[in-house]
Amino acid sequence: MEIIQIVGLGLIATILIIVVREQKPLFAFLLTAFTGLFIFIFLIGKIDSVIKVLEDLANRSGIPSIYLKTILKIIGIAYIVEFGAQIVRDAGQESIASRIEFAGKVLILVMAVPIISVIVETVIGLLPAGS
Amino acid sequence: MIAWLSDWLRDIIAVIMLAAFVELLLPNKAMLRYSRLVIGLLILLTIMSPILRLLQGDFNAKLKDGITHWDQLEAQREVKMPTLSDIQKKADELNKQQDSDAAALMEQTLESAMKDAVFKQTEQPVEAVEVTLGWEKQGQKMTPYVNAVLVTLTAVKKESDAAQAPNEDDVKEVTAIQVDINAKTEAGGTDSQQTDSGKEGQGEGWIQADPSASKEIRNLLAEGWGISPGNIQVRQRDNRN
Repeated sequence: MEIIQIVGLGLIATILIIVVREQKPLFAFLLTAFTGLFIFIFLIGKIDSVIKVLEDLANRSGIPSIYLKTILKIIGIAYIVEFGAQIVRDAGQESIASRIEFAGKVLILVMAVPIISVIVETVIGLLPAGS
Repeated sequence: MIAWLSDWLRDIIAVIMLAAFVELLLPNKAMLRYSRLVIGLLILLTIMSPILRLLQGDFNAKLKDGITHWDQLEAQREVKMPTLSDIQKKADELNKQQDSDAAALMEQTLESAMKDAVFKQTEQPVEAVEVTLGWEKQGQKMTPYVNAVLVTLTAVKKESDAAQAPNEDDVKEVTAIQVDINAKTEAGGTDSQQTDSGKEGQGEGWIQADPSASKEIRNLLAEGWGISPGNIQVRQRDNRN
């Protein structure tokens, strides 16, 4: 019954934050950040089982391990970026949050570079054969 | 043929299922477009794999090479980041170099200033003034002080005029720094007995300067720069060798 724990934690944290926010906004922010961090770390272990399923699927179907590695990297980057950007956004720094998301997008696109290069090479190799 | 076709279809289905899974797992919409691009490329690669294999042989190896190459690029970039201790070490080295440069510059200015002053005040023909700086600790910083001064007077012309040719040899001896260091330790001793000639104690090519002139120079330097007279040595070029 982890969902009850997590929702309970979230509710308690929210009430505490509302109480504290009037007196000390800084502590309210810290409380927000730590609650988010705790839930994130708590759930990152659960994602592990999903990833195992994915690995199993990949192994059984015989797709190259490099595909799976790329996809898992994308998921990891997306989660970390989302987490960091959300905390920064809670602190009110919208511009820094959007920079973090931008960095995540760039890193995901970097993953695509080797794939694109292979496809482009193939297309270029196709052209003289076709003409 | 059927087996190969079923392999290919199974690959495509697996990759598409993987893609669907990933879209479910992705945390927000902002990343969705970008990850969709990469996953779409992967699906394209899987669908095209028979053509690719036909054209390029083992394209998977090439792909793997490309990805590891990118990974290595990133790793190298990380390695090149200098640590704080490296930066501090470099800063220390630069500080030391700057200090020694400043000390050398100070020696030069002191030398030229002393030379001018001695020439103006005593009208002795000064050939060179060598200043050796020492370092002493004052609180946190090392501060320089004048350790030893060596005044060289030019040779007395009237004795003989054969001094021109071997001059170059003598110049080399001036550059030997050991002379200065010895002079510093022996300075007190030679000072007290400066009235007798002491030609052997001065090393090769040098003779003791005229006592009255050397005393005058010594007093001048001691007054002008606050150097203790024991650290000042005056010598004269010997024109007989």
